[in-house]
Amino acid sequence: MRPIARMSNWPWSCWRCLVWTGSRRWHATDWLHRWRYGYWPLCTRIEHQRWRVHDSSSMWEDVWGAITALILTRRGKIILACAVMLIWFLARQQLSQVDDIFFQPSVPGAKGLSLYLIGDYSGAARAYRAHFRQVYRAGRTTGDLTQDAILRGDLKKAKELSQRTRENVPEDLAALLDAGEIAFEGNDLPQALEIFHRILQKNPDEADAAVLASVAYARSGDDDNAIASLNRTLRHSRIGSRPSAFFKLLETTGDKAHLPDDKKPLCLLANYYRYLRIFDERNGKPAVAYAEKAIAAGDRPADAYLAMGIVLEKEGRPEEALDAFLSAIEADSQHAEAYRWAATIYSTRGGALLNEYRMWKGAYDAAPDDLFYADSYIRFLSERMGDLHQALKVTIRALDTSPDNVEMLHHAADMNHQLGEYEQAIRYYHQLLGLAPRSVEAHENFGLSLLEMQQYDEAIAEFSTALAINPNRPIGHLGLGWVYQHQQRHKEAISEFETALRFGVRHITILANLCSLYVFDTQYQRAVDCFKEVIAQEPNNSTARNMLPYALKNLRPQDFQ
Amino acid sequence: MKISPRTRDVAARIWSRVSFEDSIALFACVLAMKIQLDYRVPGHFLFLLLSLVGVALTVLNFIFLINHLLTRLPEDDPFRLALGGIKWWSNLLVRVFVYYSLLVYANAKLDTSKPVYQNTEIVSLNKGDVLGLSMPYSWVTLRDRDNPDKTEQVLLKATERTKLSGAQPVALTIQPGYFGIPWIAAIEIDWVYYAGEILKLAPTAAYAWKNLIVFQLEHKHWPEATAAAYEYLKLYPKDYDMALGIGSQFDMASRYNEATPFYEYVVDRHPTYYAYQLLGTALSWGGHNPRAAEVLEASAKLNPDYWEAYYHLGYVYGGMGRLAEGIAAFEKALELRPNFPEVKIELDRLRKTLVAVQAAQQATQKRRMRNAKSSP
Repeated sequence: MRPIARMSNWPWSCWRCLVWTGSRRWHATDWLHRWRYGYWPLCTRIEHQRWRVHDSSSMWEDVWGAITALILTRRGKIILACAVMLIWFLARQQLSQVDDIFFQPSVPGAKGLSLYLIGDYSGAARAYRAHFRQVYRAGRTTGDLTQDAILRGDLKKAKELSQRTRENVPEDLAALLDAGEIAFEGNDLPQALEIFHRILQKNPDEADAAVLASVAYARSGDDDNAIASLNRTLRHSRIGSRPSAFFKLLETTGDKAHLPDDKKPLCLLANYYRYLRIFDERNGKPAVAYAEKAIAAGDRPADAYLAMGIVLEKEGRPEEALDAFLSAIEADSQHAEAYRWAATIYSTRGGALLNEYRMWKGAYDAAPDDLFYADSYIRFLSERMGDLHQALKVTIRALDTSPDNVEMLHHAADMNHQLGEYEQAIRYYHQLLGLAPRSVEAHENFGLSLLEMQQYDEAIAEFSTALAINPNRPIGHLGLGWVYQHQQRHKEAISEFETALRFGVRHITILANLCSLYVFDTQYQRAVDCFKEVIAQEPNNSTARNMLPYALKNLRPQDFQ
Repeated sequence: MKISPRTRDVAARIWSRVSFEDSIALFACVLAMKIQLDYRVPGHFLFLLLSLVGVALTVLNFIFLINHLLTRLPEDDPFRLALGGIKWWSNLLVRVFVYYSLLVYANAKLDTSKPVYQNTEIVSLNKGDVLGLSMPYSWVTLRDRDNPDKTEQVLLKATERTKLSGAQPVALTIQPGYFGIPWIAAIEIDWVYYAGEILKLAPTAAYAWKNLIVFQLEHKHWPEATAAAYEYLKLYPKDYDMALGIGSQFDMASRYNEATPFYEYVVDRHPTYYAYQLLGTALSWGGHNPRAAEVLEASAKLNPDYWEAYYHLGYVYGGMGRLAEGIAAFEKALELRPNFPEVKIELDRLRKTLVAVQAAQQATQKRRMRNAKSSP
């Protein structure tokens, strides 16, 4: 288009005026005048008429000018503006719930988003895979050559690379997962499942393997295992990191959803939509709808209730979610995951300790060999109920089957420490530190046990090690403070407690103890101030109430003579 | 008596200032609310009144604002008359609330009777929001455990609000009230009942045991607290911190003889310098100075270079009349902790007493000798 000189006469020019004139004058009224009557008020024209070069980049201005030139009544313009705003608001609301993974900057990516938004999940997954093929062929990399080759669609190269890696490092789980994915891409489902099974045996909570296994089971028609595998991933709130796994699940969901009604795996679909809800909240609705259909059709009602309950819980409807979980338990009294979710809801309610106990116990009883439920039950028993005897029993049972489980060793050591069985605790801490030498908590708790055994030098060594690994934790300083206090090294103890308090320890007993140390160190004024602070926070604090008169007596002896 | 017009005028002006004018209505309501929170009367009447008072206050504020715009309206304008009517009714409501609160205040303040306890459970707990709008107060709906059909609403204090979390059995401390209007002094979790329920399911749940013991101690149910504490120590025999803590609570209540067994329990099983000090002090305060001296002497051997045992021994020997030993103990304490004004004072006092005693003894001796000489 040949550039022409034209006088600017479009509404935004008033905003430009604002920029030109700085804060000297506000032009909103002029703009409204222009909008209402179609021309600028005289003063504006005189002040701010600008001659500008009009070229092809001004095309949109012409369009806008054409729109504003529409012969609309004032009411019509208002309605049009409101409608545009409403459309924008609704579109924004819909798209804001969608994960970034759906927004890929390419033509196949845009096609994928469009297909996804109209509900064609299979088509969307295929379009997204085409997008990834395109961008990885253009040189993008994940940092993993095999994964790049899979995403490019170069299975031959991927197979070669994966085999080479496994020859060098046979236990490499990522390479094994690549091999499984390659077998899956090649439609060799039994081989893929065998590989995923091997991975999950080594690491039961490997999220990508579990998602891919679930999809592989679903494609081979084994819905029970497909659901179980997915539930296993989601109980840790992990979703996997491989986009390929996600798009396979998306594609399978689309394929299964398009089956004839009598052939649809309703419960599986409910669970898959529940998974997809993590990426787009709008999938909650179909998840609940499929769950309801599954319950009505008697298709694994416990799993369907569970999927429904989880979606309801995520949507902030805990009461309805709890009803769904209790219904799942009623449908299958051995459904550990339903018990766990019910316990989680009870834990957020006040005064539901007994119900929470029943639910955690139910989950553990339903799956006593699953360390995930054992761990939750132990934590509840020890932290909420203070039932150390029962918690220790569960821990010992878990250690019988998995003697090198770090979490269980941690529990066993901590529980023995709390029960005053320090020698036993020390034995467990030794075992634990052999497996996890950089566990700060293990070093700290080990130090506490040594302190109780009056092995002060060893305790100092453990607390110092803990602080060397992570200097920002207050427990090491508290531990050192206690050791020094036992050794009557008051100045050093005071310094350690003060450091711990600076790190954010807010326990009133610690502060009261520090106040007592000020008395012992003859810092009477500080002690009095400190005790007053304690009493302000906890009026019945026995240490402060007992010690304050003595601190005062030493601060102002003349008053007591 | 004849009141002069000037006095009457002044009184009327003061009355118009202190009575329910717009400016003080809000202030009076805040005070009344504080009274209602401190001396809570259970029931639904207050909550009905509160909502009405809220509306009345809003109306009064609104009228206060628009009154400035109505200065040109004549006195007999219908709009002004209508506003005047609304204002009168709003003022009446505020007055009812404030006078009722004053009655509640007097009822509670003059009440010296013993409290009674009522076992209830929480039906619902409103932590200060209605339909998403935050309210300046929170309340709880309670159901009588003995009479489940009876529910009542009670305002919650801030301290209670943090401790209660819903669907829990709670104990109400109810005062009968001077005018026969019962008012609630405290709402707290009924640990006797709640712990019992937990322990039926999990008999070794330390959480329930510890809260039960604390509850009994706070309510001065000493034998029950002692019994629960022994049960707990049977289950968790090595929880020495808990045993010492229970002993300290008895100490705080000046029940030293009940504290002693808990300290002895620790000293017998896990003898630490600190436990010895607590036992020695409790024995001394409980009037068992000879035994206290034994315990503290034993503890001094555990850590001879620390001042605390000598400090306690100084008092114990002083109390037993063993002044020279008391002085020696205080001197040792002062040697180990020089900046110790309290000990200096005590040392000075003991020395003076010793001198006085010795002087008295010498005088007695002289008198005896004189008597002996003078006797045939």
